[in-house]
Amino acid sequence: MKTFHQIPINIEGIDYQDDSSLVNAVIYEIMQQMETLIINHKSGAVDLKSLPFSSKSYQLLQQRLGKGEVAASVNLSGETIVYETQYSGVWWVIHKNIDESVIAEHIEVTKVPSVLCAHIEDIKVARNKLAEEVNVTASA
Amino acid sequence: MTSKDTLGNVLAERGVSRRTFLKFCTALASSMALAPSIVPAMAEALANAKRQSVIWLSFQECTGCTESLTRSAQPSIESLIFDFISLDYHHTLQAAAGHQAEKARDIAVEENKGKYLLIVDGSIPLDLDGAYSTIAGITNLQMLEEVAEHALAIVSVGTCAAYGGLPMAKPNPTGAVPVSDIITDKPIINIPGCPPIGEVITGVLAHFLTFGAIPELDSLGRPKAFYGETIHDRCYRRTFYDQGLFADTFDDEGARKGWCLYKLGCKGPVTYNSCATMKWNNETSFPIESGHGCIGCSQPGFWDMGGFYDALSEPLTDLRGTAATAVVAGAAAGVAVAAMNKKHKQEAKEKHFKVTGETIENDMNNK
Repeated sequence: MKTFHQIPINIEGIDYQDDSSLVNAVIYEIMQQMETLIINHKSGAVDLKSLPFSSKSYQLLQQRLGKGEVAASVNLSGETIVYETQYSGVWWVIHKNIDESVIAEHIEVTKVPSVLCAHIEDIKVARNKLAEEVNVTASA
Repeated sequence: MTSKDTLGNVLAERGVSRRTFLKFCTALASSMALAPSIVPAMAEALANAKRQSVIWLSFQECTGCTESLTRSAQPSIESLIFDFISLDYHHTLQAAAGHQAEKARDIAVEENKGKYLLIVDGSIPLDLDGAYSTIAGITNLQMLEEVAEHALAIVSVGTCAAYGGLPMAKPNPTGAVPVSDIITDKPIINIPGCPPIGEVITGVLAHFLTFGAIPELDSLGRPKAFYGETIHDRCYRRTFYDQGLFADTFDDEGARKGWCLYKLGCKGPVTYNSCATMKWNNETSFPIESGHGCIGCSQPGFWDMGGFYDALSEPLTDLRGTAATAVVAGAAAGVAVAAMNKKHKQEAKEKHFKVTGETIENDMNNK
């Protein structure tokens, strides 16, 4: 049993009156960030964990944004799931821990989420490693 | 320590990629309610930071705070924080004992004068010249004063160190006081809770390492990032409070439907903490999600605030963002609770009677 939501109990009678208003607010923020990306080339993000989403409003947001052309899974001390929504440049990024609990969840408005980019420090390490491999192969 | 000893290099040597590091910073920023846009700068600052010397002193405490921190450190992304600090003294966790342990403390103070972070859990007894609690032949008071003198800053972990906690509860038999009553010339960060959330402790340490300064604090010395809002503000049952829907007992229809626990003594409306968003046990749940009201453990004097099951006697005035009907519902609940508390107590009294040996004997004979 990993999370509370996996326990098969459905609380009765919940009437989340503000479901659509919270989702609308997030969508307006995304639209604003898309505008900034287009004009100023500046990326943005919405931290979903900081918002008091009910499971219903969370699902509603997922439905409205949908899924697009790109999806990726990155293995970084636990899985990180990245997919582009049906709106180009709007990415849903879920960072999970080793125990599969979600430690961060963002909607990123950017060309490519930074977690997918190779970082120069890692490229330097990789270059040295490759050079070492070439030397070993050459001397063999 | 050379520039090669930066945290970024240390992690690279251990095979931790920058992507993983970025993920760690993303999780930290999220837990600290920092804007996602700060993540790249945060990762850069942390990568260039050096390991921070930390001395941890435990006084009148139950070790729950240490448990909370170490339980948050499964082999997971958050455990990277332990690569960021050098825990030079912690008498529960360190392998050394006796004179060797105390020597390690002296060496840590000497080698990092003015640069180490002092973490304290537990309150400090002052009665009988501090004789109620001693370590290695000196009182907690002496040890705190000695180590605090050369500390860069102090972090009071847990409600005992921050506000006196349970040892200070009436009648306070040991004359317990919090750290801030003794040390008045150093910056002190309070991380209250009984215990505090492990990720909050690591978050505060990461903030210190990243920004080289203590985070913004509220009037009670707590980091606003984690203690800026009440449990009630972020509670998933808040919608029921706003609609005036309450559980009256722990087994009624309202309880089964997950309605607001305000009438059952929940102290969420007056308690500042992040349990409702950060949660416990790998984010499984928090007390209210388990069907029990908040007991207010991150507030000063929570033990002496009245019964855990007595509803707050005043209607809430801070009803930000609620509809007019909700205000009415909340006010109505507040007015009713004083009478309700009295009624519950009377009923409980009536149901209980003193059992004597004679009663039991009579019961046995009647069977």
